[in-house]
Amino acid sequence: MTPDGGPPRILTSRVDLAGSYTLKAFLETGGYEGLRKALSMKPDEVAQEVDEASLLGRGGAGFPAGRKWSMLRPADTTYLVVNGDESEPCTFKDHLLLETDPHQLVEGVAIAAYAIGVEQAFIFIRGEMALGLERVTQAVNEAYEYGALGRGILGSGFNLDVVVHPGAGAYICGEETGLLESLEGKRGFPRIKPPYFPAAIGLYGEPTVVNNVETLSNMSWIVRNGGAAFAALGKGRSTGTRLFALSGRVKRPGVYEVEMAKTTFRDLIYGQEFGGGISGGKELKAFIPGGASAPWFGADQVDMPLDQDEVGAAGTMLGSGSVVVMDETVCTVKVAWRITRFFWRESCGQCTPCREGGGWLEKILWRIENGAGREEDVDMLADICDNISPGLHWPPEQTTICPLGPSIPSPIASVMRMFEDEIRLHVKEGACPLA
Amino acid sequence: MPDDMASATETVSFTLNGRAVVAVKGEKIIEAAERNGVFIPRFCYHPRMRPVGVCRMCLVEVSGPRGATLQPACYVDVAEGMEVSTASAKASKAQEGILEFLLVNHPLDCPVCDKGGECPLQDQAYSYGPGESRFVDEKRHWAKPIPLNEFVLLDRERCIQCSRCTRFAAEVAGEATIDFISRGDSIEVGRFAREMPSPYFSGNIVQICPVGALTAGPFRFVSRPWDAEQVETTCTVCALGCRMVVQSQSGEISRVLGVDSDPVNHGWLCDKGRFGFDVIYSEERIVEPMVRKSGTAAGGTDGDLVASTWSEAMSLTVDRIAEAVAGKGPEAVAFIGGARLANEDQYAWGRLAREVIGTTSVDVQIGDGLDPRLIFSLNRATVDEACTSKCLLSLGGDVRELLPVLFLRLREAIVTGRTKLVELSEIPTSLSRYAETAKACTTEALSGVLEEVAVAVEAIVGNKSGEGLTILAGRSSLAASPFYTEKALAEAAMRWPQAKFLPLLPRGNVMGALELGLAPGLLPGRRMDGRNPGVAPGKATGQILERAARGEIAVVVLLGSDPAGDFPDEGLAMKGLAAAGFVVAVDAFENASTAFADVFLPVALAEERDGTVTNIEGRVASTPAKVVAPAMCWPEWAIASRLATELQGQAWTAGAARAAAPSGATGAAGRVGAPRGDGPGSAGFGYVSRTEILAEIAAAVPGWDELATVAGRVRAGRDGVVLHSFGAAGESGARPLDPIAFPGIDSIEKQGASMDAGGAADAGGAADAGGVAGAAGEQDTSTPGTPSLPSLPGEVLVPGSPAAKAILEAFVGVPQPDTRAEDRFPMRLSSPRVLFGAGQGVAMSKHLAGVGQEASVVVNGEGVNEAFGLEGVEARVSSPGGSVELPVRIDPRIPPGVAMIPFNAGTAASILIATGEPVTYVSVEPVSVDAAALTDGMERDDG
Repeated sequence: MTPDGGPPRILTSRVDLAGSYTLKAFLETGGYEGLRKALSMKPDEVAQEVDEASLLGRGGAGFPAGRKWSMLRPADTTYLVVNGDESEPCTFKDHLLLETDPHQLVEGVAIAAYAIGVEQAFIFIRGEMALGLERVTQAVNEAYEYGALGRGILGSGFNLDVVVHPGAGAYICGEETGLLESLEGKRGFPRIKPPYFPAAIGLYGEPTVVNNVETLSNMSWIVRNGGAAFAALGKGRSTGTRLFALSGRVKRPGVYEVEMAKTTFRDLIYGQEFGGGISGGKELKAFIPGGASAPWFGADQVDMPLDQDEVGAAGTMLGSGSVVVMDETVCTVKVAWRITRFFWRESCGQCTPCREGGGWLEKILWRIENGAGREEDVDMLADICDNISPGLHWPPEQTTICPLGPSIPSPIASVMRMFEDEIRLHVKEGACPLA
Repeated sequence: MPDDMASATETVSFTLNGRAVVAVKGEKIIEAAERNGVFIPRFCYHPRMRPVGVCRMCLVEVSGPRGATLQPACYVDVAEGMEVSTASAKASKAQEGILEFLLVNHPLDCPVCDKGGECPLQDQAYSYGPGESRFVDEKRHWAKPIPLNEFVLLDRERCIQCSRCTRFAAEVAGEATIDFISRGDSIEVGRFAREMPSPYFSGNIVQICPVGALTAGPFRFVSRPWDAEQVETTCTVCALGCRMVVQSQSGEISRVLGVDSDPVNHGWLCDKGRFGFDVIYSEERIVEPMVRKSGTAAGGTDGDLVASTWSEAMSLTVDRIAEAVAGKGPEAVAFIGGARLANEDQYAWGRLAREVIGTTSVDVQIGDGLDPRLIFSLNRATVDEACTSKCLLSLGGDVRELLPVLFLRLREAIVTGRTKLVELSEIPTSLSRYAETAKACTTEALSGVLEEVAVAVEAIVGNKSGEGLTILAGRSSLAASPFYTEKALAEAAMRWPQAKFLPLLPRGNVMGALELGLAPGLLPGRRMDGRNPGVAPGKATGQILERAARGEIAVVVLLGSDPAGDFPDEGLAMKGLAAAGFVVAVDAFENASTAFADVFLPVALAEERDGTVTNIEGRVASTPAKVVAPAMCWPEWAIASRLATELQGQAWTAGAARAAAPSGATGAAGRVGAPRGDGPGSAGFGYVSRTEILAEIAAAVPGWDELATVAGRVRAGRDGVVLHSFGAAGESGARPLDPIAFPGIDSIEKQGASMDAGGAADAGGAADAGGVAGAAGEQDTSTPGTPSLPSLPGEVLVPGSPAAKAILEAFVGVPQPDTRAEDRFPMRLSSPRVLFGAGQGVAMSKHLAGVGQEASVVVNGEGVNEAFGLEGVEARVSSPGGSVELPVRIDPRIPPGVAMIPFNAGTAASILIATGEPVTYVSVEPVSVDAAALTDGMERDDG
């Protein structure tokens, strides 16, 4: 607990420090103590702590990290890959960690690698994050010099090499199998399933664990404080703290670390230490609870706790930890168009529904938003969405290889479900009523 | 993907559209459904490539433990108890949705698209798509078409990104020269700036493209599929015998498509076989008989070839042959070539030569082959056997250049881990990069190196008997005498009695000719000729030319052959042809040798005449005619038949003697056809139809006897039968017919011509010439490496037989002459055959214009650069036999000390090679004093 009685800052304890990204600042604030402790334990015991922490993956799917590790197929060569390809609109939590506390990530990578017996790790970072890339690369170099990476880490018999790999500007490489393809030097085409998990067949065909930046940034704290302490925070499966990237029509957009399940969306949006309320004092119209592909919540669900399972049961997800707030003046058609435009342009082009459907939907939404919508476009939108993600239910069914497909209709389905009148008004008036 | 359920070991039961059916374990839903009569729409799926599941067209509803979901049928294995619904409301809506998506950016230009009418997108849009489009926005626009290489054009707007072409390039051809660039609906197939799909297999991507995105230049705007008539036939460009259909419109060939023959070509064709058909329409083609008339002197002869009549050309030929035999004996008449001919033609010409004229001077191989007696003494492998053997041992040069589609089959077998390759080759080949072991090895060193790699080979197959070993038997360079290779092959066969051999003899129907009597010392059906041949098999052409040069040959008949342009020793060929008293060209084009011709007899080409051909496996398949030959062009058998008929009138002929004999065993007697003007049809020899000859072959030739009863199996639409192995690997099952993979080919059985051999079952045996008293000359052993073979009269060469063993032993005993480079000629010449050479097959084709290789001398950069300064400089390459000037290319893969000149890219190599020498050594020097002065000058400047 922090001195003020609030939850501990597990991930963001250093973000406000000057030079937080340097080895010096890191060592002065307990850096690599977690790794030292982990190396004094057996790998199994480390994994056990993480399992006990009930750490849910922070990348978007929320798969328990401990379980993911346990699925790693025993083999002579195994890999750990860090997914730092955070590229979705309004998602910028890993961005913060990469730039302000790269050593925390490196330490987490070393702990995880030790726990699962991996001697080669890759950190794949979105190419556009130039500063993050620079700082993580610097941190890796410093860690080698310090002895936290390389041969015989911190005097132990454990070896680990880490390669920092910049992405080349494709959102799809955040999909873990697309990322692996890209790492292998190929086009970032997500792999068809089966094999279902990289833990069985991953990078270069070898068993591979792929973890998110934030997930691994928790490792040091968990090892130092014990999995039980982590699990004591939050509720149910949703333990510990989590970063939320809050954006949209709030007074104080930014990245906030909050205790899971104990905090509600209302706290996050309106709390003075967080969003501070809707900007301009307007009314909350709707919000996206977990990234661009998550179904939206209306103002009536603002008291929902930030609990993975509760949000899941309500038909959406905490996803990538991105909360986007829309007030009464926001045109939801425009929001849907903007998100669709993103997905259309980021489709890898492999599967027909995603490649062709995205562009088609974008064109229709643009027409509607700009006054050229037709009566029949509304039903057609719904039907096209259904052809990409049959039934438009949650969790989505998909006609594509990877989840980018059903991500496209997701915001559109939210608008259809919550604001169908608004779409029809666009068509009827031949213009955006909120413009 | 076994078709035959009986052969499947494990099966799974599942429900298909409510019906309980059985699938083979590991089978994909799309395949199991198809075998059970349910077609699932598809675009990216191709039965000869790994599934990728990207087009999503084959989505079906699958009920499993996790409820009913949409799954790609091309990718998901059938599982026990699985419930598959291909046409449920959910599956149908998904399929309709996919089609609508595919059409969003697809231009609806079907009326002007070459694919229209045979387009899987068009067809499946009708069957599974929505009635009309809801898309009202602007489609994607791109510049088009973009050339991908000499043959293929890309229309990016029509592309549906199924990745069949990119996968073919990477997975099948092994050269990822095209791939996707960009993403989303801006994704496009692109090629590298300087590296384009090579003109070897690129036509296949056009054929497997499920839309009109990839079109072939030669077929663009030529014909509508519904106007095309087609027939399934066998490609005769090389000796693999790929199955294909030939399409024509208004009596003119418009296109060639590959057919998926499981044992042979898997649907693939090489670009030469696919696009080279237009040679038959070349303006250079000779379409009427010609006779040399005195007048202006030209080409060392006493006049020009001028148009004539069959009567004049025939009677002149007959007179000259009769004079020759009367004056100098039957061996004064020689026949060179015949690989282009169909089996029936070859048999007829063989009888003419052997029985009617009585000569043994016959050779289909033009100094580029192997002794047929050796070939027939080796266990023969089928292509399938080669691809499933544990080890491939290659002594045969670059398969991609010789038998291109065999390269695809072998490459697939190697990269999928089914077999391992050990390669001994003079220079690296296209398969070297896939080899377990690839050794650079001169032909003369083969025998010794074979000894070295034997342990490795035996380790791979896991035995010492050679079981599971297939040896690729060919010649990796024509600048070394064949006896080195022959000895090595015989040694391998003795060492590994269970090993099988696949001969890499590339010429069209060379195997048929060897089987049916256009080989010296062998009667049809691999029977040893009792007579002592005046020539040595495999080297007979050289000996014929030598004898001709000495004035001993009065008549040379060129059966579609060009020794002056194609025989390894150009000088000898020119001398021989010039000195021959009378040269008859039986051909379709003029060439270097026809300059010596006194008579030119024009022939019908493969697409213009019915026949059968025999491939390297010994597989007999049909080549039915598709179009009509120009009026004056005869099928070759008819020419032979007519010549025989006229010659048999002469008292001296062997045929006449036999016809008079009471036994009548020749089958020639009594069959009298009335001569019809200038056309074929004759008394005596008596053939009036091609099927009659086939029936005679089936009735009279050992090993071919079952052909009569299985003739139906050889008919068009099937894969043919393998000789000497009926009942074993003979017939293959029905091929999977995927209208998407093979658009337009769905009525082969209906349209295919039949090979009706049964109708003439009364034909008597005619090939028995074993008892004919021939020239009893000494066997020629003067040529180095010619083994002293036992004569074994009448013995049939069956692998494993005492006769075959005696042959092998004789080859092992061949003395190996010493070869050493002289100071004057320090480099060893290597001269492999290339696919796109300077032959008529390329030169006469407008489609293939520009792909023919320019002659050059290729050397390893080491040391040579100093001499030349720069690549591309002209060099003088000299040997004891001659001298040529060629541009130099540097290729570090060529072993140091070797100068490589493609054999058939012009006559440079054959000018240098002297067939009397076992190995050709050359010198490579800057061509002019200027070049040397330039180098000196630079040095001076530097100083």
